Amino acid sequence: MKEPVLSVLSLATCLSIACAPSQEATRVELAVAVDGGQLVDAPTDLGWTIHLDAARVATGDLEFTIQGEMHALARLWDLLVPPAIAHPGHYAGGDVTGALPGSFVLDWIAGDGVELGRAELLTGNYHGCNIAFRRADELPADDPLAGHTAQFAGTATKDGQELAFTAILDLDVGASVIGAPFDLDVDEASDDTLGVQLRLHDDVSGAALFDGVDFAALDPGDGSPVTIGPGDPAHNLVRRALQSHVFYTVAPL
Amino acid sequence: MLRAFALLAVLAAPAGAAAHDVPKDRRYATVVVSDRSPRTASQRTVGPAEIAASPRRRSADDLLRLVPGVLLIQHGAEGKGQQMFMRGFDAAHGADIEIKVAGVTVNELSNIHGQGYVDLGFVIPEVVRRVTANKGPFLLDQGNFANAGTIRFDLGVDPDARGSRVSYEFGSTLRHRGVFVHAPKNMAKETFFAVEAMTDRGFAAARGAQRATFLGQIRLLDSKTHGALDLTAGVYAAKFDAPGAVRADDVASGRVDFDGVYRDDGGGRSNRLFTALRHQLDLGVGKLEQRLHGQLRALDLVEDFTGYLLDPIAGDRRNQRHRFASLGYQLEYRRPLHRTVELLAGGAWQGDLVRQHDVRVDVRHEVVSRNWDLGAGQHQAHARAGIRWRPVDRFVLEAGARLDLMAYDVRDRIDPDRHARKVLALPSPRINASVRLAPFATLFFAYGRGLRAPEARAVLGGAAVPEDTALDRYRGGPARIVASDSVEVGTRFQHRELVSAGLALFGTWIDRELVFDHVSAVNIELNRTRRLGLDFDLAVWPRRWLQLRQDVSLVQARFVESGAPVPLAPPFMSATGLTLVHPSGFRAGARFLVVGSRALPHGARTSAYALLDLSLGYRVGPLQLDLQIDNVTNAHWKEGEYHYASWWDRSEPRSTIPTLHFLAGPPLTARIGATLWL
Repeated sequence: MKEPVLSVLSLATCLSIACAPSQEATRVELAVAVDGGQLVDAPTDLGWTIHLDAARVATGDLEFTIQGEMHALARLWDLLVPPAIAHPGHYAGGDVTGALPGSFVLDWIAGDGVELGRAELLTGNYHGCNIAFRRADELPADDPLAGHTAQFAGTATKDGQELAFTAILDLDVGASVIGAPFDLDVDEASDDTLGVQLRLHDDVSGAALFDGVDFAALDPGDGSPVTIGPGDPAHNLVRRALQSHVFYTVAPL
Repeated sequence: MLRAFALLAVLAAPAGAAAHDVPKDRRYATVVVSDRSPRTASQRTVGPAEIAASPRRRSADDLLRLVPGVLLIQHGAEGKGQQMFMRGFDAAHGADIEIKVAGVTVNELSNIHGQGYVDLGFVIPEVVRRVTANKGPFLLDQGNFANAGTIRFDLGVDPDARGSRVSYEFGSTLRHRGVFVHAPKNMAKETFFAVEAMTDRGFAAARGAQRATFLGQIRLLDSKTHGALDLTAGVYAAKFDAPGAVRADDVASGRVDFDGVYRDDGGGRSNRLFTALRHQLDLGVGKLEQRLHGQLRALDLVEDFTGYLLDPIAGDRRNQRHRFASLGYQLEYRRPLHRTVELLAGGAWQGDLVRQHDVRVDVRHEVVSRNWDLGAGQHQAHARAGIRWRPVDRFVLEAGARLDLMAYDVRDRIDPDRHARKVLALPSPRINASVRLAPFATLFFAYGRGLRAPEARAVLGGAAVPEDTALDRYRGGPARIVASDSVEVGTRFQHRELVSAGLALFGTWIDRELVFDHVSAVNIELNRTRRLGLDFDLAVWPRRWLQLRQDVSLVQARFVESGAPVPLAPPFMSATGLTLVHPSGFRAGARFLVVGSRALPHGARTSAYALLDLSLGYRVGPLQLDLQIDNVTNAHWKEGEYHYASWWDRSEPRSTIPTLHFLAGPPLTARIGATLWL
């Protein structure tokens, strides 16, 4: 007797206000691929023109962020205080609303156009992408990238002098690119393929990925290529630059 | 001091012993609350009869629910500060609603868990005489945190309810609550002594709470020449659980119950020592009121809302510890300057010492990493001046301004080289006016600037710029005071003591809203917002012992450029209420609350819900029996709903994409109580 009465009362109160159930945010799936279209030869601050024949970076999850109603300068705080922990009732710094989880090797030369997978995104106006670095421990030992984070090979040219080089970079656990530009309004009808781009030179800031590296000074002089590896001063320069968001873009293909 | 209170209570006891010969409930002669001179259209005063008969009155927090348009969400258990909403503000734990108890602001500047954190656990509901809400920042004495308004708790026991009483309450959640109130009949209404002890297992796992409170107030001096001197003191200790929120998809799949929890080791402790000394003096040509107050506070919390999202090994539990000591002084002076003009002046200072840390802890609650640990000294001060002009009986204008000053000295205890000092100031004009159009109708207008000071931690930030940050896009800004500009126009119709109806239209604009996410420790500056809305209230008193009320609050809170809704702010609330206090001894209260669906971040929405709460009581001779039933229809409702990422099941892939989470609201619960008037 009691239960039916309560149910009727409950139903009545519900009907009286047209009770609305909770509503989850709308989600879409978009393909993500490597896009080498922006990887063109570019100069450094020391006058070297870089051409790449290999550009591979081992990454973990890719996260896509919306600025939402955060004022642009607020992002500084987000970057200063890394933990982005969501919490009831409050805005979480770095509003991640899309992700492609997994382990990838982004190969902008040989793997240009390769699909990495399908990312899940909430609809919204996107402004950024975070890329987590990792060590490529799963690769065979004879792969130059095995156990490392990034591998670059190519030539540096200046005043008629051309030097071949290879760079193997190790980034710390937890290192990531925060806020790579990704400007796209994603709605329910979106079906774009998102291209992850790398560039050697940022036209806005004027920075280049190999800024500060004097290839001539590193030339062993025996005809073998210049090598940049962990422990070298040049390694630290390039490693730091590799974490800068200005060298990455995510854009629809 | 406590000993002095105890001694006074014992000495005064015989005076109250004769109270049991009251044959019927004459404690409340009327339920009519006729505020004869409201200063704004939305001002609302809740009187003692309505408080005593209101349903769902478990703690002083619940008395806030009597203010129209206030929504409370408990995302811990009873004892943790509630999340509050009013006038389109998600005030978090008190960031935008100033709350005063016995004239002292209890919002805690720089509390580790939330700016302006309010914990009203130390207030015993039985000794709250009146709750007054002033929505909007329109009065000169409304200070820090009053962007959405100010709610004041006046303590005391009215003459009709004085005497000694002992109460015991038993609830269906295995709740036991005992209260002893001693309010000597031969002393002023300000004087009382009250003790409360409560334990409650809660309606589901990890909802338990315990508290013990002493609160007393005594008029030490009542002299025409030296004025009146009131001493208020309180001691409070509480322990509570913190259930955390559950994922909606886990509930849908049956992995966790609707009112379930992932972990049951969350919780906290809250302690307070509170004292205030108020001096009121009639100078003949003016009135002076001054108050000296001090507090000691301790808050410890362990919470986890995200599982293993941040730390897949140790988990994401956070332990927050806050220690706070404050001393303050207030001064208010008013005197007539002319037959039609009165000077209003005042000022206040409060100095705080704060020590706080936030650490991530493992399952044994041992420290895994330190997020922050800082010590701070902070000062809040203001001076205000204005006039009250009443050229004719039907017109009153109050206009003036206040200057608020904040000073911080903050030291990072993890990195001792990080040390910052900052002084901030903000002038705030305030004006309100009323015109009586007819004996029963008054028109109101008000404008005011509200403010919210930054917290100490914000002062430390912003000094360094990440190397890879393009400054043209991410220009860092220093901590600053958030200012809001509000206007309100409205009218009130009051026909004798039969009916009162008010309508207030309001708007609030904030150029850059600063929100501190206390868990991620991020200060986030938001785009421009505006809140437009109306408050409507209707009270009818068919008899002096019966009140019927209808309150409706509508708010459209939006970001100006995008038009997107301000997350979590309730756009619609309606409360239909009944208060009955019959001279025969019977009393009853009913409240039917409807809360509309609220926007969550990222396009998600909360559910709408309706709740019906009841209270019944009867007094015969010295014995009073009460029954309170919360959620009479046993509605399956979600008290808090949020949209964020979590990772609880490590056998599933980790995802950082936000999803719906919620905290179940209490089901039907009942409490029976007996009060013996000694």
